[in-house]
Amino acid sequence: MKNKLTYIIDDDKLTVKLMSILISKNKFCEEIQSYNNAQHALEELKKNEFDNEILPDAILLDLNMPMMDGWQFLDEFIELSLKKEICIFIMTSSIDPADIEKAKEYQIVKDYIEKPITAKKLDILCKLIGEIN
Amino acid sequence: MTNKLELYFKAAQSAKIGIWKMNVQTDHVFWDAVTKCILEVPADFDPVNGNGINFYTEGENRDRIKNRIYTAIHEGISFEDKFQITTAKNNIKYIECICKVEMIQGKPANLLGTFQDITKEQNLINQLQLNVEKFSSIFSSANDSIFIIDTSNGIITDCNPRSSVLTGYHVFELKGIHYTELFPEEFRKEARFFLKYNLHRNDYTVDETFIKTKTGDSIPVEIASGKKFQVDHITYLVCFIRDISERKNAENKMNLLSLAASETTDTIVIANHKGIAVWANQAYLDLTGLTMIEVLGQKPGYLSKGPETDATSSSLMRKAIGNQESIKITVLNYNQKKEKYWFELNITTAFDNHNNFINFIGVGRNVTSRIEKELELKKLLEVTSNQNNKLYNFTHIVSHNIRSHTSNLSMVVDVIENTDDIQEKLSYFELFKEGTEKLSESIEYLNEIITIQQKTNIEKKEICLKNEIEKTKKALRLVIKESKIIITDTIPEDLMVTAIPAYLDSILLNLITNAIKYKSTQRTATLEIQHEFIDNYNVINFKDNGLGLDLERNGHKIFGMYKTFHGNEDAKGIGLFITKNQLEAMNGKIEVESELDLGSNFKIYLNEK
Repeated sequence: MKNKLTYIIDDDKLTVKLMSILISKNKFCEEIQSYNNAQHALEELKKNEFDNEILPDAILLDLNMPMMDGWQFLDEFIELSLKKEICIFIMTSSIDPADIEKAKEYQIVKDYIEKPITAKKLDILCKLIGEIN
Repeated sequence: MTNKLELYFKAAQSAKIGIWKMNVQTDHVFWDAVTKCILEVPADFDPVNGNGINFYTEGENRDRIKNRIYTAIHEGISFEDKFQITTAKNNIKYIECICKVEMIQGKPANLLGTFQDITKEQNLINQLQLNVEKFSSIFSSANDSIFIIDTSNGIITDCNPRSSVLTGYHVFELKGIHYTELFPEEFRKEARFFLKYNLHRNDYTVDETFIKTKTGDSIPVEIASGKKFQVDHITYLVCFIRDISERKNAENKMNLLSLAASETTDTIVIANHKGIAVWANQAYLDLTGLTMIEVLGQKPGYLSKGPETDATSSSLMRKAIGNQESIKITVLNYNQKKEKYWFELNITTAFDNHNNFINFIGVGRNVTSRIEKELELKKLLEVTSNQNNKLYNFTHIVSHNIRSHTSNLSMVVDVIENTDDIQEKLSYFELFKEGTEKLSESIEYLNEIITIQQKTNIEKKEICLKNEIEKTKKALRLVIKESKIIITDTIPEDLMVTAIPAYLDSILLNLITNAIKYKSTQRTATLEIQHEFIDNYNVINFKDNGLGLDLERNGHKIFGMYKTFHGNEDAKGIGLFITKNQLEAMNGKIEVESELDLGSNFKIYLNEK
């Protein structure tokens, strides 16, 4: 399996719980690390900047979050000098066209997925990651 | 005979008439003293034949005398003629020479003649001739029509070519008609009166009237009559008639223009190159409430400024006038009663044909109603766009918050479906319950907000703010005690604010609770509540020394729904959103000033209008 570690960044604890169940059932990755606060995820990434082994392969990122939101996370993420290519997927319940357009402006965003996440959607992501790595 | 001749000589001498004689046979020539005197030769001058001819001015005069003498000598023809001579002293004189031929046996024997100095007379004639020419040239080439009228019968006896141009008649048609025929029916009496008056006065007078042309058109003219003159007991009157249609047209145009300028409802002020008013119309006086005396000699507008007059507009106008440029501007002015009005002013510059600056012309109008409508429209637009924004936000909230819960629920359903293990299915039931609870909680919040927004017409009441704050502090006394927060206020005891009581309660509770919730653990928490009055608002400041927040990063989210910034467990992200909605429902607003780790100041605006 190419996708070893996936970060889930979402303030909604129920969503994180459900995502974890779905992901492990679908064998999307080997390990999941979840963050309710994007700031914490960012700090973790910074800490492991030079250790590709413990950096995630994919990040599932929610947009609407208190404190640091998805956009702010992306802006800070770009500034990091990571050597590893990480697939970022926006995963949100927002169906606002403005959000979808804004997501396209970030090159690092591989795809924009509307909640709810389903087994089928995870399959597509798997393929996307496969293409990249 | 001798006696007779002598008598004759004497008479001639005293009449200054010279006598001369020439014998044709002997060529003997005699000049008397008068002749010699005229020729300015000495008294002892002894003339010989041919001497005389040389005094006649060379050219036509000399040729003529030669010719005359020749025909007299050879054909016996007497003559009587006038000549120009040059005297011995080189003076030019005019003389009259009469020559009688004395015949003896049918042949000319003697030429007898007189010689008379007529220089004076000739000069007079010459001058007269010149005058005639001068006057006839004036008469024929004058720009005015000149009529000479016989006052005994009113007949035009002469007129110049210009008359023909003016009237359309030929000169020969004009001569002989009665002068009144030149005037239209209705002006004849006036013309008659005018000429009659002039006949008595003998002054130069001018009058304006109309004449009728051959084609029947009426032309405005100026009629002047000068001195009359008499020939053969008949008095003639000279009339000068001048076509003044162009001037009249210009005058009419000017009259119309000045009528328009003075009667228009637009205000007009004309200023000189220094910007000093030289003229203003009634509309300007009406609008400004000034008198003409107050306006003239001053810079227009100097009495129209007021406290709210925009300084930028004033300086723009000053600059344009300084540079002698045109400008269009709308300013808030004041009339004499200190009433405000919006004044749309168009200052244009006028130059003459040589591009010299002459005047500023300021045309303006009162556009108060238009500007007020514009302002009202702008306000309406603000309200609408605000409403639209609110609606958009609300839709977004609904779509996002409801969707996030429903998508969770559908994910639960998904995992339930994807397992055959009944135990596992049942284990997901707790998650399902959690999802539905959150959904209903969201719906409740949304409902609460809709209720706030709908009830904008709940009656506001006068509330004593100080009392309300005390009430809230009492309700929160346990948390206040626990948090050790120091709450101070400088609210006047008697300050009354206008608000919906339940909303004010909720707002105070929320803001005080927030100050406690987001206090800094690094220092003793404080909250100062202050009051100020801005425009129509009672503004209440809630200034804390808590965690504060980075407005640049999160300012746009602070009053949104479900936005929390400090990761507190009890932060629901709904409080400020509700506070904002409640204030807006009362036509108020909320603002925040904050710095991370220094504290925040929430300013609530209660509309007192």
